[in-house]
Amino acid sequence: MRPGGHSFYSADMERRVLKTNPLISRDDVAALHDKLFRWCLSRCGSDRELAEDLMQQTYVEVISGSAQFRGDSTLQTFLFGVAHNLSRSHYKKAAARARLAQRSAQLEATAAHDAECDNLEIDAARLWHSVQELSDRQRDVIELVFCNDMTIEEAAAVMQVSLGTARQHYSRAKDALAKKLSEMKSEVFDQAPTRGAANE
Amino acid sequence: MNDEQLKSQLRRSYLEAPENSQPPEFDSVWAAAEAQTARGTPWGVLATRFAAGFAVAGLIGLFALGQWRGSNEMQDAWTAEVSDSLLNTTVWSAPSDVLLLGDGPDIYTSVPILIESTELDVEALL
Repeated sequence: MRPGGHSFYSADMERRVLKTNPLISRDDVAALHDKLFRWCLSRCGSDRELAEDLMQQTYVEVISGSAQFRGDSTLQTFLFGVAHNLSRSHYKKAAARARLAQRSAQLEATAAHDAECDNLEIDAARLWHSVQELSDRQRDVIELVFCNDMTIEEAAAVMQVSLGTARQHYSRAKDALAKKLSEMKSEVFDQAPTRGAANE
Repeated sequence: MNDEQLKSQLRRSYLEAPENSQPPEFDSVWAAAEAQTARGTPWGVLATRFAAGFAVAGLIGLFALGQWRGSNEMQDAWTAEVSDSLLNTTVWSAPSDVLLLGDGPDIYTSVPILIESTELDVEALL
């Protein structure tokens, strides 16, 4: 029992199941904490403070029972969907500003990084910047499917779009990234003989 | 490049991205969320919701009042017209009177005759 006499958990103290959401336990949410934080970061244009606030509000929705989990999807899909809805309703403007700031910062960082980078392998940072350059929905579906191991159906549920729309964005995003990767590989191949000749 | 290769490249870049750095401690964020839930909805938010509710109710009430007053005005005008036309004449006519032969019956002269008479009046409606 917390100081002040307020308990959010049912009698099953071992699992700490929430009274307002009987299908969710504290430990279940803890296991998804890191993934949820990264998802909140992407909702907030990588603004860490905003992302922490969004994550806390997501937990408030779950603890208070405002968002009810009925078990018709995975807990990850449910939590990601709650965060996505909150970002669209309460954090839209702040997130848009943060995203604009992030994109301009990335352009500068990419230019500086390209000048300094001596690594001939495909650069993870450049690849991630390519993902950030996709449209919002393409980026979201790529992040959910490739980086969070969701199916396209689950990603569509989180993004609240139809399955067909999610598949379309997924296909276009994949094609755009594959093309970007090929360009990066070509650059590496083109540079290699030049560097070899320069070192002689 | 197949999907698996693209996936592994993307996951690596996703995890290595500087913005996807160490998340905050779960215990602290969860505890803050519990404290916020225990405090309840902030008064400011509640006040805003009530104000919005009252505003909507007020708009609906104004619209309903406007509709009611409009229908009453129409009824008053119709009532005034009917009253004036009835007061100014002793001849009552109905739409079916067009089927009658000759002039319509005068209620002050024809009705007493019709009630008292035992003879048939060929022009009477009764």
